[in-house]
Amino acid sequence: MDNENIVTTSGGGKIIDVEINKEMKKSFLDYSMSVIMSRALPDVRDGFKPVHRRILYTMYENGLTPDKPYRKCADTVGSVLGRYHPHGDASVYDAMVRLAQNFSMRYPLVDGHGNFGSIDGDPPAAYRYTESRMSKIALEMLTDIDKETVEFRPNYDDRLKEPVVLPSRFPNLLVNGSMGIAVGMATNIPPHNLTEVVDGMCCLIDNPDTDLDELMEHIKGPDFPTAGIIMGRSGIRAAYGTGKGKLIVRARAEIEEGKNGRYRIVVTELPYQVNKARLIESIAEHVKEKKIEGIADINDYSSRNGMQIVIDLKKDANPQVVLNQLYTFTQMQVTFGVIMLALVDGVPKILTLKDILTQYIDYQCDIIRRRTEFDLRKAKERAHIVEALLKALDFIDEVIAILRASKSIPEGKTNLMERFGFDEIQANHIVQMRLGQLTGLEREKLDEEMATLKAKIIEYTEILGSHERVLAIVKEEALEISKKYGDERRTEIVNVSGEVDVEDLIPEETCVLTLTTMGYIKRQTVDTYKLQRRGGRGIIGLTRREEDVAETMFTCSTHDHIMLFTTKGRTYRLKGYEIPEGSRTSKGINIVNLLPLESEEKVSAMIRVAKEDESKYICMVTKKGVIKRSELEEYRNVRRKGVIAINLDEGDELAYVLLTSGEDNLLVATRQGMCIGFKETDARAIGRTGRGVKAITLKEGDEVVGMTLLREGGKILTVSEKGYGRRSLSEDYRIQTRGGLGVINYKTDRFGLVCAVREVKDDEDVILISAEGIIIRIPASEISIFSRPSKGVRVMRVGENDKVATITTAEHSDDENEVDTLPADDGEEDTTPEEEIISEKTE
Amino acid sequence: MIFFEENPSIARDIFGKALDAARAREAARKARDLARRKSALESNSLPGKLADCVDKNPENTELYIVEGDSAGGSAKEGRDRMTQAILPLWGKMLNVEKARLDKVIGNDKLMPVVTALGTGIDEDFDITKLRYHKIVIMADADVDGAHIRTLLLTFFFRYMRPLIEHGYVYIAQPPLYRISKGKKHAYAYSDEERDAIIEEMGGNCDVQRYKGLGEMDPIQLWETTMDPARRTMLRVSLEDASQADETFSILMGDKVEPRREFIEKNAKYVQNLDI
Repeated sequence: MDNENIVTTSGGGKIIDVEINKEMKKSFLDYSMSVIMSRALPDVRDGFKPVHRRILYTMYENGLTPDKPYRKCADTVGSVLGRYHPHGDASVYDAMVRLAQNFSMRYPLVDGHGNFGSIDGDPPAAYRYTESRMSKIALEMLTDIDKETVEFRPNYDDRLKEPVVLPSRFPNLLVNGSMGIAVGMATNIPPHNLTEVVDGMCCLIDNPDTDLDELMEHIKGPDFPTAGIIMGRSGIRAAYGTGKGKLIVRARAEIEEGKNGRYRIVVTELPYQVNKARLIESIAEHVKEKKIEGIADINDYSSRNGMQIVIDLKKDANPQVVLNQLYTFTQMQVTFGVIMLALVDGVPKILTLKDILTQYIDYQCDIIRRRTEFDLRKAKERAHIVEALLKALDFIDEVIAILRASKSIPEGKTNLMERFGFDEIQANHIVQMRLGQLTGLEREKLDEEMATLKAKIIEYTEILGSHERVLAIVKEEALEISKKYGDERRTEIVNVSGEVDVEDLIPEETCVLTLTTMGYIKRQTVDTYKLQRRGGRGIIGLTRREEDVAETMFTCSTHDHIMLFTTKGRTYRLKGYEIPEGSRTSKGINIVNLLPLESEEKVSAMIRVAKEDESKYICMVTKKGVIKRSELEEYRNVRRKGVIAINLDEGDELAYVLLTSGEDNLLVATRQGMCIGFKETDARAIGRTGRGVKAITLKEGDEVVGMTLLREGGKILTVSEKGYGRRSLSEDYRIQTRGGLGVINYKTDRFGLVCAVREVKDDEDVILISAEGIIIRIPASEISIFSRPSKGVRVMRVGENDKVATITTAEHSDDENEVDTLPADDGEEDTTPEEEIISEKTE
Repeated sequence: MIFFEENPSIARDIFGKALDAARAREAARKARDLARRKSALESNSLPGKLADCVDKNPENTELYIVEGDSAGGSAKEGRDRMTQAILPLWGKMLNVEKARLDKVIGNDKLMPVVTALGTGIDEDFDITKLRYHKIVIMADADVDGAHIRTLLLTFFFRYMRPLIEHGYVYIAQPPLYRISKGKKHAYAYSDEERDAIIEEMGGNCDVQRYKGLGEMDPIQLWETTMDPARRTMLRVSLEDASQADETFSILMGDKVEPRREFIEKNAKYVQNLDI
């Protein structure tokens, strides 16, 4: 503020000009940093926010240990406020109440007596009624605090000292979790099982390179005081591996059949932090609004013996469906968003599970070291005294005589120091002793004490010289605490495959999926589709931009997985029902509305993965001729957000994807007319993010335009950009070794570059689309079979500046009118394609 | 339409913006109508909590907006009732950066400020109706006080900007420490000043740290913070409105990410940390 404009007013006061921008930034920083650093976020070492630390330390100072009687909370709250926490009384009492609630804390740190609130959200009694003391395990938070193990700092009025952090002899941050909203950031760390966390910690001490999988063998997941069920492990993994993740937590509910044949759902556990009373209200609300049907009555029979919410169902209700609806619409299922944010050296950081454990182990090593230093110093000091006592014992009569002869205590001290060579401390100790104590000294006892002290000094010195010893002690003591307070896990973790939850609400039915060349996707029920076909209008049943046609179309179940692959090598998985249903005439929805695609990213393949699919492998080929084969299993856990399907080289694109059985033969064809057939086993199956191997050696400027299966009796269609095409028998393509130049498939210099190669069935139609949007549909059987590399027949007449852009196949249709309307400027077309073919054939 | 279909994120942004704006305009219109009607009916009703001053000439008068009822009491007792009016505000108020006009107008913490000032807000703001030419924000010298300051400044900046442009908004500077030795006492407004005073008094002094305005006797509050002859005040000025606009959106707006970035970038400049 020195350089600000200072004005002295007529009154004599001072006015300093301050720019609003600066003032805002300064005030906001003061506030936000304070909230972040000393209010809302826990310290990674003891897992406490300042208010908790202050409550426990005050209780410790007040001697409210578990062996003492309870004391009024008002007294504790008052002490906390007066000594360390200059804020509101409510904030202290609320925090303290939470520490006592067995449904909030996995291991409560305050032992409360009286009404401390309930899981129904009932408030606790006022602090003049309730009483409390520390719980047993809370003592472990403070063990060794008197041995100079932690730093202290002055309290708010410089009157007292308070600990900056507690020794926390068990990993409280993970075990009890933490929740807090600061400014610009928040934390939400779920509670864990003490035994598991200590085991994980020991595992990490034994091997600092322990990875997440190994850690998760010990620490299986959060363990909520309210038990419940965590659905699936992927969210837990994400949270542990990255510090952020979402867990689905469910209530425990059983379906029981009553005597009268009616069902009822009995809920015995709730997800963490769900208010039971509010849950029941919300169920009732949903029943009233008819969002959930089939519920006749709800009663809460919970008592001190446990929770029991009984939901009686109507006679005709399907209990599983009702239960699924309850999970979907009410807090019987919640998402717990994990954000493992904590202060590390005063700075907020998102931490992985391993980070938290490593920080905690380091901290405990620090505690052990400081404690040992303290013990060593005390032992040395005592040894120093015992040494003097032993000497005094040798001359006990003389010592007494000297003290008697001295006129004052200081004189006696000086005389002792002169006669026996004691230093100030030793002499002081002796003059302070009563005569009885002096004469009562026993050599044996002193010798024994000296020996013990010496042994201790050696041990302490050794510990301080060895990090391994320190680690061993950390481990040993943590295991002791775990043995003493550890208990069984309460929360069950169950495996889930996919998002079963929603699925149970959706009927399984067969549908037709269509993906167009322009990236529009649509789902139709198979009935509508067939009905409409008979009606005979619009072959593909899509209205869209004129040049857009269905590129991929297949039937599948609404519960099947659909995998979509993009040019950038990513894959996304949708369930059939996730693709919006469209009417016959709707053009569908652009795929970018379903998948988080980047602007340059296009969907290059869509495949169906049925539950009972026998295909075991997935084969991908890129434009630059790289093939990658992986087990389908590798892609089981693709989430909606997508994962990498293939690691692409710079500038390469994922072009074609096929499912294979593991014993198939593949054909890869290129634009410049080369092709290569090989056994799929020739490309070894590799992991999901691998790059793959070379399928074909490409000439300069060439690229892959198709990959297909070579099946016995299969027919392979090759179409050139100039509109020529032929079918060839798959036997025509011999099996070679992958990676070579291959054989010539088509003479491109004369009949144009190859635009597509794919397998066609005799009863299919082939649809060709030109770059200018002209579309032709002809039965595949009308394209003659020739052996490669003959040019085949004219399949489509293309203008001088036009070329065939893409082809696709569809079920055969007899109705000529079904061909998509051609663009208006196409009127001058004088010959039908069929005629063309005939003329070609007769050549 | 096709462009929107194929670029859903852009489409979403555009439509979202349009919808928001429309909703806000509609709400604002309604709210303004309501406010106008209200002020027509009960034109002179000042907020009940306001302890107004005797002098009605705005050029002479000051309005102290005081945090907390506990401090409001001592401010009322300690003031010069001729020229100083006191308006106590309790608790944290609405962050107007995140709320629309209709919420602002219905807010029971902000409306007393608006009625006390007499100017109306936003488009209806009329500086000639301002009842005080010094509007003093008097909050505790702790970090929550800092927060209340940011909230009030946001309100003034967004809805009564001319107040800031005219230099009518001030921030009171209560002392941080009271240092006493025997019968002598002095106030310090910073840690350095405190150390200097202790040295001057020859050490061994009693130091009281003020955490809230409520800790001070009315006379102390007058001596240190309100007496025009002795007080120090900060006058809020506006140099670069667009820069200030950006600051307000970052710090108080509804997007978390920029705020976190700001905090991370500026963490090292923090001056006062609460304990």
